[in-house]
Amino acid sequence: MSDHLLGIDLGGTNLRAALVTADGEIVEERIVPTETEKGPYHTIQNMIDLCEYFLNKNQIAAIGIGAPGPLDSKQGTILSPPNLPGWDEIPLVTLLEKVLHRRVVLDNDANAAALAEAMIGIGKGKESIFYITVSTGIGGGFVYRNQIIQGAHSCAGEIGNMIIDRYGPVHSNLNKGSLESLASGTALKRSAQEQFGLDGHAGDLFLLAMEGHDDAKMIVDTMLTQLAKGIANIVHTVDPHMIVLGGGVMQSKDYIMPILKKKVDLFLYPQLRSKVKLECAALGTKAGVVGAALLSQQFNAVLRS
Amino acid sequence: MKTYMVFDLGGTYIKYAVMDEEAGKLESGKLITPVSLEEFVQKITSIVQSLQSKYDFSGIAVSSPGAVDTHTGYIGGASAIPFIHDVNMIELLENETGHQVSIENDANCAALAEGWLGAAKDTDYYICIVIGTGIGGSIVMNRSILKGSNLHGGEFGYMLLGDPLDNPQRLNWSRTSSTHALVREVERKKGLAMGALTGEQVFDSVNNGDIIASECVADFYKKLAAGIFNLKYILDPAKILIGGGISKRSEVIDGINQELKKLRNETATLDFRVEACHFDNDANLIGALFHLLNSGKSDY
Repeated sequence: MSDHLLGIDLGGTNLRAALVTADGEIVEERIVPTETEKGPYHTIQNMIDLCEYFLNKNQIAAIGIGAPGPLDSKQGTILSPPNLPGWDEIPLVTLLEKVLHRRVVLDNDANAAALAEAMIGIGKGKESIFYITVSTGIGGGFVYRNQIIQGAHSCAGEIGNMIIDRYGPVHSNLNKGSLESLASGTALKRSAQEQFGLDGHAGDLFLLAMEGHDDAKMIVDTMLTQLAKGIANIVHTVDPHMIVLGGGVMQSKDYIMPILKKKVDLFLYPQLRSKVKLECAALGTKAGVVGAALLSQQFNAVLRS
Repeated sequence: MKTYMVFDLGGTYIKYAVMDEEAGKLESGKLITPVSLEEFVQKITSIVQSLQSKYDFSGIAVSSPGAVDTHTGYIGGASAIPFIHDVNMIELLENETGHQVSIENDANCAALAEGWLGAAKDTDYYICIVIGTGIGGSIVMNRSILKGSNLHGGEFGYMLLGDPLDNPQRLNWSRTSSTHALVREVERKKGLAMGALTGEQVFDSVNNGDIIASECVADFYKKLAAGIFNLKYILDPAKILIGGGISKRSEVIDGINQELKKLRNETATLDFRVEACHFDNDANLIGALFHLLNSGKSDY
């Protein structure tokens, strides 16, 4: 059992730990509620217990953790993520390494999912993929030759910040016209609320759009236009071998993809039209924990200097 | 000491130099760019032949415009030197000169020069943004150019920052925020003919208190900063270098950096700055040599 990897997916709702083969198959998985209201040290203790459970039964050299950003992967510190209230400057890697006596690798959840999709998911075999998660927020991860490009300050792939419009709603914590303010699940929800009083989440809006509801269709169309612009900007920058789309909003992929593909083509430099591979993530909810396990093998995270 | 013959192909001139392994120039010159492939090959060959009795060349490095495929030797796309396209330039020059030849795109050469001996020599992950007639650039990872799946890596001049959507690429970053676009905007606002002003005149008039030019330049910095901010959050390079004629003006670098600061917020917390490229006229020659010294394989 020496070839198995241990991955931890720390989410706002659940804490998942899984023993994963080098090929990305889950051998055994355990899930407990995160219980953010009980504070970080309660969750960290649960994390330690889960790790010890797996470490006692298996030979495991390193542990990978995917967690919500912002975080500093170099220092191994969690930096006040909105989804983990109370987690302010928590040196998670140091804490765990001290107790578990294993090397611990921490990265953000979007990078973990990106790595999973690149290595064993839809992007398997591609030289480079750019993963985009469209959910409450918008994030992403760039994987090159099966290595996560973290960037100098662990901020590569933080594409929710990308400015794509001069206009758009004013935000307290985002720039006007940023991709996240225009194309996230939260943006959809807000538009639907404002424009026709829909009190539901993004999935409800897509159901209405599929039924032909005019306002719903228009809101989704506008959002996809903005998302397509963000995707085109990524293509013009890194020209990845595949763009992979994941996240909660992509549950409505059957409605989204045909429209999105057309819109992306419209925004591309003519020579690139129809050459860009745009695909949906293949691993579903297990991408996080599998990606975290694969993270443990990123011994020398590249391009941090 | 090993010596190398290095060429920088440009639309007006072909510059050349004999260089040592550290890019020290032992000899240099330039000629007006020929008009046909035959003349080009003949001139290149005669320069090499006239110098190789004095130097025992270990290879020939070429910086070229166009979409250079460094592996096959073909130069795709279009450029100011029409006849270099659609021939196998590596094979052609190797056969004519008898030396090993490597070719890389000129913008990529300029970027590689910065990483080797210039403003980015202390990092292996940086981008160069060249601002001039348009906006071009290169992404360098581990001292190699990120080429991308369609050789379009670093083509961020096509970035869209939110202008009318009916014809999106008509108003990409290159079209709205290059030096050329700035000069044109000042000309338009002053009712001058296209080509009436140079970039230098525009910046000089700002220093002399010209209100129209000042407003246009302030807007220029804003638009540049927005695109640079996006690149930072897509790639998070350790350094962002600015090249092109205007990069030599410290007020341009300062102006961009001031606008970048204004884009910080609770989510986008990074405090980062751009810097000017170090090299000027010799950047392409130096980068071409670097590419050759890395076995002509300094790209992904």
